[in-house]
Amino acid sequence: MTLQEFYARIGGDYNATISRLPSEALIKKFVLKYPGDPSFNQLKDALEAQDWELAFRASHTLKGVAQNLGMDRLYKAAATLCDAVRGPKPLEDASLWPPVVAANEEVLEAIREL
Amino acid sequence: MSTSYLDKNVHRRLELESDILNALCASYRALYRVNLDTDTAEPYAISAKMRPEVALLMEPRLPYSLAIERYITRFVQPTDQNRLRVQTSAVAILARLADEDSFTLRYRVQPNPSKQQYFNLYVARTGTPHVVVIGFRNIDRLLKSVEKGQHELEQTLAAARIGLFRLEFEENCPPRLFANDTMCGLLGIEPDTLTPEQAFAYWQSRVDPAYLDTAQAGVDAILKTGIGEVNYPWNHPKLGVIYIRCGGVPDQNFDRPGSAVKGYHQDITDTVITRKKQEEELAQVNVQLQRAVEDANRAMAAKSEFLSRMSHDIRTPINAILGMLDIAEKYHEDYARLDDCAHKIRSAANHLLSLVNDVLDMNRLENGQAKLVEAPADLNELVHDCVIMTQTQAERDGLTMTVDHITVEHNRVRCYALQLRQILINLLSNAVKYNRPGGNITLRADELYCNGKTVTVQYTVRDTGIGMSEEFQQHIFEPFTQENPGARTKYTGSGLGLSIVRELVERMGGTIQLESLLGEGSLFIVTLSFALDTAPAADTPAEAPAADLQGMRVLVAEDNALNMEITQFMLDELHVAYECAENGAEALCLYKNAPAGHFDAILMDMMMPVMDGTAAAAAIRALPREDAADIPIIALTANVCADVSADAAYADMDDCLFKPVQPSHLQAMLAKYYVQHS
Repeated sequence: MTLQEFYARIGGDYNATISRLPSEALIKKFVLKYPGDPSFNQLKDALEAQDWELAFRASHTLKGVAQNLGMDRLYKAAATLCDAVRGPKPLEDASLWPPVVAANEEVLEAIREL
Repeated sequence: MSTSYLDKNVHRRLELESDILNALCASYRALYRVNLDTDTAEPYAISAKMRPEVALLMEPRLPYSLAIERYITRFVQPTDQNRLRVQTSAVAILARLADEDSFTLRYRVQPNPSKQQYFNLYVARTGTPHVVVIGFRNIDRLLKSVEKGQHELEQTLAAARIGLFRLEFEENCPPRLFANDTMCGLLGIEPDTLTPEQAFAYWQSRVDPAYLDTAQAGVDAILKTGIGEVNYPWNHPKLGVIYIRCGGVPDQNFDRPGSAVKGYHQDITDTVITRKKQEEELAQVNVQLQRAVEDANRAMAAKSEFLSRMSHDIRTPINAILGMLDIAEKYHEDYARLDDCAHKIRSAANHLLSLVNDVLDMNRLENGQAKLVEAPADLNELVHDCVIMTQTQAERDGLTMTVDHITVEHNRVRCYALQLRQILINLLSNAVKYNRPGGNITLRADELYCNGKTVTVQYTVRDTGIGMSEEFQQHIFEPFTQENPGARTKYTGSGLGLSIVRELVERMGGTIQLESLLGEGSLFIVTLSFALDTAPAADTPAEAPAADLQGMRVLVAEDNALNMEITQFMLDELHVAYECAENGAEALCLYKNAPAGHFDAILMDMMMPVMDGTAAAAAIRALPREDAADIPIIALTANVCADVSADAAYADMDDCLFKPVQPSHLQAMLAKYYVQHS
């Protein structure tokens, strides 16, 4: 799978990303590091523990990472959740979490094929 | 019995008289009673000190005249003999005693075993006419004490290099000079080596011939007025020409016929030399002053020149403006024309403004100090501007301007635009000035060649004016030259335009030629080369040149590893060094432990565990360290609406970068603070 196909698959912005990190090899290097990033798991744990402060921070970080790598779908999902717990305050709309999970899973799968 | 009593009285009286006589005679060697009538001489007393042979001479009862003659001949110095003879004659003595009660004659004796030298012959009247007392007295000791005092005086004066002398001008004798030791030294002779006559001759021979009269005049003045002084050059045997100051008074003690002067003789060479030097210096100072005056005058002249020139160059655009305003007034409803006028007025006004701004530069150009500024210019536009500015004046004077061929192909160049304008306007306005009614001015611009780097253009200005004589053409480019001061057009100008034009042309590395025929017109040809302006026309504002951030070091506070890695990558690309902290507390710690100035800026992620960006920034600012208050803290935030100046969260931040961070934004931000910080 090419990098462009990857971005198409995950609903990401290849063009924006390549303009920021001008080499495909570089982008690929960072993308391949994503699975090791703790932000998603931190968020998951935080929500389970109902640690809204941590949830806020984790979702915020996840949002940032996704954005940094041009993973727009993941970014949007994380951003929505982040706004919902900003305060921090308890997550009232639990339906905000599954899109995050799905987007994350999508990315991980795509990465496996990279 | 009475006789013995009488005898006793007489005897006593004689004894008394004898005692008195002896006492009085103590200082005299001999005293004689001389009867000039009978020519007899009787000794009164003869001191034991008198030399036997002298005494013996006087002892026999010789006639006075013979005795004195013998004395003089045998014992008196030859040089004094005649004088003494004359003065001791009966006739002379009687004549003199008619006026005085006594007189003395000084004389020297011939060398003798007792080394006596000077004697006084004392002659005095007695109660009896024709009877005189003559006494001989040695005055060596007296003279010595006088001498001693004199000697001390001379020593004092010697220190000041002042010698003492006596000059004797005795009648019928050669002049004599008696110089003391100091003076001998000043004359370059050993004391007592020359006779007084020789000494005088020696001194005189070495006086600068031109000053002999002066020296004589000095002596005359002394004798006449009692005091006098002369300065003269004197040829010293060893020192060469030295300067002498002589002065003195008449010698009252001179008792012979003629006159004598006693005075001082001083070497004033040092003073004279010093004075000469002073005079030379004064002369030099005067020369310098003269030059300074000349320079000042020249500067004044240059200043007036400059002022005239200034008015000359300023009038052209002002006239253009006035011309345009006339038109605007006349056609005040013709908007197209008004527009055109406004445009031309602006053009002229801009030119005028540049002129005024550069007035000092023009002056400096004259002084060779101007810095001409090269800038991109459009030659065709420039020439067009010049035409506009002079066209009004031309039309007003009923002249036609032909500008068919004033564009060139390679018109985008780098040149001294203002100066080129000056050159063209000067030539064009001259063409206007020196034209005839109904005449014509033709301007041409021809591109001679272009080699891809430079283009050579030739501008020609032709007029049908009064032309110039061959002779005048020689001086045309000199300042203030005007062949016909009564020019036909209204303003006369200052005659400086062409000298400036030439200077400018030369400054720009070009040439200017003139062809002219008296009565027919003139043609000026200016050839200039310009560098082509190869840079593309800038429509967009120029990007700031890539900032060199090498050497910059930032503290990056970011909790997410992946984000950090991406940031690190971008910083590497910018050659910016960095140190990383995973949260605010670590950032604070890193910063605190580093010396002041170690970090140039801090990139602070807002959202971090342990201590977030806001708190970390606050803590850093609170540190009692010199750079804590100033170090740029740049927030990294995803919140595009962040208002660093208003939002309290950014209270201690200086700026913020929006995530995802664009490399160019990061560069610009760092460059902004790096420059400022350093």
